[in-house]
Amino acid sequence: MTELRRKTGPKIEGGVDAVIIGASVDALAAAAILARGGLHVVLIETGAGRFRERAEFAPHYYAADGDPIATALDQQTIDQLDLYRHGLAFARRRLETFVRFSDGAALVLPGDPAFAHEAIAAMSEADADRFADYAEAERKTARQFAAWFSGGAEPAIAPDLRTEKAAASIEEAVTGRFLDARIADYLRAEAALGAASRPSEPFTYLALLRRMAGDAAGLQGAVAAIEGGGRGLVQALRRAGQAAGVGIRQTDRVKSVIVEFDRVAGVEFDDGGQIRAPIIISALPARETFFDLVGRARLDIEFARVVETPSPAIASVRVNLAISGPLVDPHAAAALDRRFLYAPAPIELDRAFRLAGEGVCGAPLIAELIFPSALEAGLAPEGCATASLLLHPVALRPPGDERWRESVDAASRVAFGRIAPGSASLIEAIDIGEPEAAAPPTLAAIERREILTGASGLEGYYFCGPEALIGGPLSLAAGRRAGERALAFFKQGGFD
Amino acid sequence: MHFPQGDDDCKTPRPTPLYAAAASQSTSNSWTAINGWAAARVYAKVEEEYRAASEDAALVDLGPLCRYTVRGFDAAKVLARLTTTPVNELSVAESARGLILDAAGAVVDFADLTRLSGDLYLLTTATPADRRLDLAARGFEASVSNVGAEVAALGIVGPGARDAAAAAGIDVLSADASAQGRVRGVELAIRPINFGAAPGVEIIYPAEDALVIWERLKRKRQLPVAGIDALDILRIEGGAPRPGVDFVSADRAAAGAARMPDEIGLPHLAPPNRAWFNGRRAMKNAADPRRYLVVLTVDTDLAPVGATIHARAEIVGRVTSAAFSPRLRRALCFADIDAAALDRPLEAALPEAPGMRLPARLHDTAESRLAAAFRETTRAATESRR
Repeated sequence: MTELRRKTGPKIEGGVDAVIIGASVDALAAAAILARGGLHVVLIETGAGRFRERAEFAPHYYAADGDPIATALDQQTIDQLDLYRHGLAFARRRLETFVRFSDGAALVLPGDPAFAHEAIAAMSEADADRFADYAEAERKTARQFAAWFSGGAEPAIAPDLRTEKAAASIEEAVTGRFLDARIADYLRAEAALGAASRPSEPFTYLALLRRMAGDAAGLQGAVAAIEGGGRGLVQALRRAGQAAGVGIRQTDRVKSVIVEFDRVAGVEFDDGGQIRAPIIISALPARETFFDLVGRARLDIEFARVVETPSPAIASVRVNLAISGPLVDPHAAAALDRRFLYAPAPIELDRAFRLAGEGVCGAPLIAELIFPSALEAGLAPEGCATASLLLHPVALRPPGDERWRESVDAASRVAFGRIAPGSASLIEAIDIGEPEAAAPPTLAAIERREILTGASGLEGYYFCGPEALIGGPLSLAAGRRAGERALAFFKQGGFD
Repeated sequence: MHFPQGDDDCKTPRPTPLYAAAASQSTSNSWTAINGWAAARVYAKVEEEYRAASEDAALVDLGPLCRYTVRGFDAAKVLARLTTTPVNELSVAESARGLILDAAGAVVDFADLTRLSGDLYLLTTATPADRRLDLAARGFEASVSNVGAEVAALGIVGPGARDAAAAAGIDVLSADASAQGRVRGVELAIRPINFGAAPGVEIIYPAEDALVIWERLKRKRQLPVAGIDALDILRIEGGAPRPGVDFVSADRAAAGAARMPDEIGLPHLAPPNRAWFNGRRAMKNAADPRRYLVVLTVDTDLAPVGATIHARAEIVGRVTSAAFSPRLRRALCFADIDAAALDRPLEAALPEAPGMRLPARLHDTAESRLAAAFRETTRAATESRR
């Protein structure tokens, strides 16, 4: 007999104003902002971006997920959500940057970039004033661009200046500017770290301005270490969200976003259950957000083309190192609670990009090194250290590629040896992470972000996934922008 | 479907499958290139070609138009997304016309669609749409083939088109359904078309048999051949704008030059309440039209090409294409004019007669009547919702 009515069935839940999909810090920020705005918000934690508890990657050596430092942290979100009250704290607010060059020389830049004069003078007295003037001027320009980088409107600056800065390559902007070529090497490494394009290609200089525009722990251009890393930030955001009444659910997968006419109407799960809501914010990657949850057939053709823009074939890779004793090099060993950077010579960098483009991982590479054990207790045995090394550029290869892993292993040892000469033999274990696709040129990334966050044409559907981020993954700006847009939509009664 | 703007400077136009037959009819040797294909502007005399196409029937080489087959489980989804045609409502053998819009809701091209079988569609566009089709089909289970060079497309235009086809043994089942058949061993697909004010049929068949069917039609009825200039008069009489001439495709338009369907007088081809299609949301949310493309009659025996349209002292528009209509015995033109000037008395200033202005009046065409009915229905529906 046909069952006319099921006694139990999938649950359809109503009365929700907004559903946030994702587990990233931006998803949490967007959820908290909407909840503080008075909306009934449900956050569905799913997909990548969840920070796990620290994992033991070698006996007695522990590593945490993600980037241990932040170069941009949206102050407005921190203030708006009162994150300090909810437990956000910094292990170090101003990390010094220890730069090692290909000739073995070292440069220690202070935590406040405005005081770099003395450090530069110690390396090249003739360049101290030049560098100070250059850095001050570029920080000022970067300030004008800051809102644009974080998702706001394009700055109202002279079109010539905008074009000059946007179209310039790193090479043409820094080469020949200083008497000591190593200063240019440092700036080149800062700008090219995480970038998909060679420094000689146009539109690459904006990456350096983006780096200079970042505001971490209240200081422009600084580097800060959040207590607990990404997990610390997540915990503060969760507390802020829960205090505002965000309901958090955990599930493996959201099946689809329900679209009625041109508006979103809720989400559906694999068991047929639904949460009906007029606002959906997705922090999942763009392909999942639009293709998997909505479907290509409901998207404009041009918009779909932007969604499926392929990732660059160049990547960065994070490697955890177990260091079994104190560093040999006294300069590097002087303090481990710093950010270490290896700035390759132009010829080394060019070769690294060429090899990465050919699918090979060369060495030496640009390397950013942090010792999390110097910032957080209990990550390594007494007298030992854990190091988190970010290598760039490497080829974007599938995780199971053994040759690729061997070459990354070798590059890690070379990089560590360059930063701390004589200490490579102290590496006891190496834990290689997944390669992360490099960022396209900033201007292209901004254009893509503008389309993805504003042109899907689906009313009530907002996006703050990885493609909405320009710069560091912990910035929170994408989540805030999405939350604010959704809140404005709600207040206008656009869903009625 | 109408030919887009020709390229008179094209140095090496390709011959269409029917080129040999068409060239043998040309005494004026006046050719242009459309989409890279050779197309006759005039075969002998425009007036005679026009008369044949408007009063009886004339053969037309439709080879320069672009043709694609879309096949597969998701073919309908792809075409519903790409074009404004009611794909999902088409039964096998039915045809529909529509537009291709960009994401901003502006008109890119015309689209004629015929459902040949369950999951096989024939799409005809005025200009190449390969890239857009490829993009639209990405991620769907559908394959797209450009069959422009593989098929001959022979049009019979005029009120006697069906009789002419029937005389040659080519049956046309009904007024709005396409048919498939075999004549002298050649597989044919026949579908009804409209060329401006004139009805007609289009016969599509393998390129290698191009001349077989042409010869058969010529032999049975001694049909004359019509070139693009004669068809252009029919087009303007029917109120059908020509891509690249009366409006610029959104793909090539400079800022502010792209036109929405309502602005080119074809809102009925892109009803926003039809199932979702590319650009629908943007079109629905667009501001009211600022300009309209309209057909005007001008009391002159000269085609007012290049004329400006005035409302008292103010220039409110310009003529985009024009022809002398033998049927109306006056000049007809498409003009792009300010929306605000539509209710004001209009005059055309011809470049050949400086200082002289001739009254220009809005002319009702088949398309403008459809557009007016559509606007009225939409307005009534909106008011009833309120």
